[in-house]
Amino acid sequence: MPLPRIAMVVLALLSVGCAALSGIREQYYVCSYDSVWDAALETMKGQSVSTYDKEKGLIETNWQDVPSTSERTFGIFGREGFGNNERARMTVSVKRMNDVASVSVLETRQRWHSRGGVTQQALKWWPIDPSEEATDAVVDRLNAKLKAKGCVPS
Amino acid sequence: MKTRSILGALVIAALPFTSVWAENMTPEDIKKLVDEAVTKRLQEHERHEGVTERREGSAAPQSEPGIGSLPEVGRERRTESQPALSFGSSGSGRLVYAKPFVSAPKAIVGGYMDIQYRSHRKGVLEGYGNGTTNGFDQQRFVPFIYADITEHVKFASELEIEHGIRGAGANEISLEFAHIDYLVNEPVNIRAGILLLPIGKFNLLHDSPLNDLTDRPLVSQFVIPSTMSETGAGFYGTFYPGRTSKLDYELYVTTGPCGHRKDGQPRINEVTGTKDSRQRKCDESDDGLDINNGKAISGRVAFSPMLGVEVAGSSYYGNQSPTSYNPLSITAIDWTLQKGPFEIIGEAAWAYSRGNSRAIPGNTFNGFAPGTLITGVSPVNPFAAPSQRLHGFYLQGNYHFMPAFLTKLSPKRFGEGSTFTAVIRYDRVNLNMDNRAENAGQLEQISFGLNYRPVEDAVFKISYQYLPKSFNPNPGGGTGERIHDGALVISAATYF
Repeated sequence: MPLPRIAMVVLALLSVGCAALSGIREQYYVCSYDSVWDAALETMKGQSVSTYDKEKGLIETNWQDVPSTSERTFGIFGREGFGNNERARMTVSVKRMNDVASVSVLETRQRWHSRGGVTQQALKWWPIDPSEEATDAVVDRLNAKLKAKGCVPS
Repeated sequence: MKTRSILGALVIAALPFTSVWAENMTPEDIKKLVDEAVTKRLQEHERHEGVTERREGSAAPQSEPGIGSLPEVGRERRTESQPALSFGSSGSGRLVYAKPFVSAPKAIVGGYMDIQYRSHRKGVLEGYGNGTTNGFDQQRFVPFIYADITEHVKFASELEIEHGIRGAGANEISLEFAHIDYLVNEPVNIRAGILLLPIGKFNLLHDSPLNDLTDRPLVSQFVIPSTMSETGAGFYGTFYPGRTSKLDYELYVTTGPCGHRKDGQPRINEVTGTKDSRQRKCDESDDGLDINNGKAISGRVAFSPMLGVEVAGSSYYGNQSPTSYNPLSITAIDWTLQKGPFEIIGEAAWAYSRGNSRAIPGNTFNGFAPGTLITGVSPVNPFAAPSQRLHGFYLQGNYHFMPAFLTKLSPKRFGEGSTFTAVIRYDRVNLNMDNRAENAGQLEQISFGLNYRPVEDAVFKISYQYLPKSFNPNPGGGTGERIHDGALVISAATYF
């Protein structure tokens, strides 16, 4: 197999792996792009939105303090240490696909001092798994809004 | 209630003598007047009682931090009215207790310790004569002190006591890092103090409870000599260039390496690698200060395209000679891939110690003229010169699992949060790439391990190390010899 073809195969495998790893929730709607975009924007209303660009189909929130998804204590004696703070930001991406529009929702979540014990690296935000509940909540709200407009998720 | 009644009676008794008494006042007005007066007297009384209690009490905060009786350490909180300790504070011997952390503690004391038992086929462990083959070693007892001084000022430190059972002077006590952070914002933060150098990932995350095997990777012992720290200052921060990606960086200017002994003998060699060139290994007379006017620069950039994937490049560059320009550079790449229960981690590093094979100006070591090739320092090859180029890497695979029957047997011991990890690691280093003949620094090791973590912070480990290429520093003659070896290593480590 020639080298470029191998590289293409590797890239394809990597991209599939990346999508699976990243925790993105994706939905397709048989609806116009404008309707889906408006519904997505309305869904994110009330949150601290840092970016919204209709051309790119991108809505991003700022980092926001969120309730902790898991109890994480310090050391084997389970002390509270530096707290159990978590923060998250939501990214909603709307894509135009002929008569269909796709929406992908991704939560990026981080925890302060999530690493076990104390290291020099403890004093920073560490990425942790996104909350499925938070992602589902956004998707559910979006579905409800689009359903009201007659757009059915597929 | 009793106090209020007495005061009420006193106020009523005093009313006839006050100028506010008037014949045309209604009973309601009089009652209101009495109530107000009682309330006022009550407040005055409470204030008075409070002052008396503070005078009589043994632990009340004072107007001056060094005056008054001794505080109950950690129990009291400094009141807003009490001035902070300053050079203007006065007091006697109790002034030593007037520290801000006594009245307003901020620090957290934690740490980790480890204990290991190892049994080798050959007598490679320290000991008399031919060395010993097995033994216990409490290698690291490491207290940490961390503190959030304010929202933006942080303090962190690690005090390491290695082989603490040894007598005074033989054990190693050092401050591995101690720094003050000033958080500006997430992309830019300032750090100054004794810093862990960002060369490779293992140097930054070297704690025994984090390591899934007992021994550190060979490349992290001999090429990037963990724990490598120096005094200095710099910046670190995080950017988010994409939807799921993250970019961390650290950049520091520090004191620099210490590449030669007082007589000019190179500290970097094929037995200990770059280990002895660390700032903390400098001669006592250097006081840990700079041995030349050059500073070292080090930095690491780590890119994580998504959760569970990180690749990083890092580098270090600084002059190691007190009398000439012989820079030591270390370049490393590291990677971490996590997917479900699987992890692949590793690190590769290259070091170049320019001019290390030749005598430096002003040396008195074995009569070598400056610039001439140094020989006779390798324990196995008398013609080999001290190392200039060193290289090494490790590749480690981890698999986390928990058998269901164990969870069923004892959910408390093997329930959520506890895990077993199967580990395999391949290590390889060459600590003198220019010595193509007999070379004490060519080491190869394959480790098979299994560990159990009842919680993430504590781990019990067992491993077998197969060492097809190893070096024994303790043979009969004491000159060292190349060997094949194997070892069983059992250990425990925990944060506390």
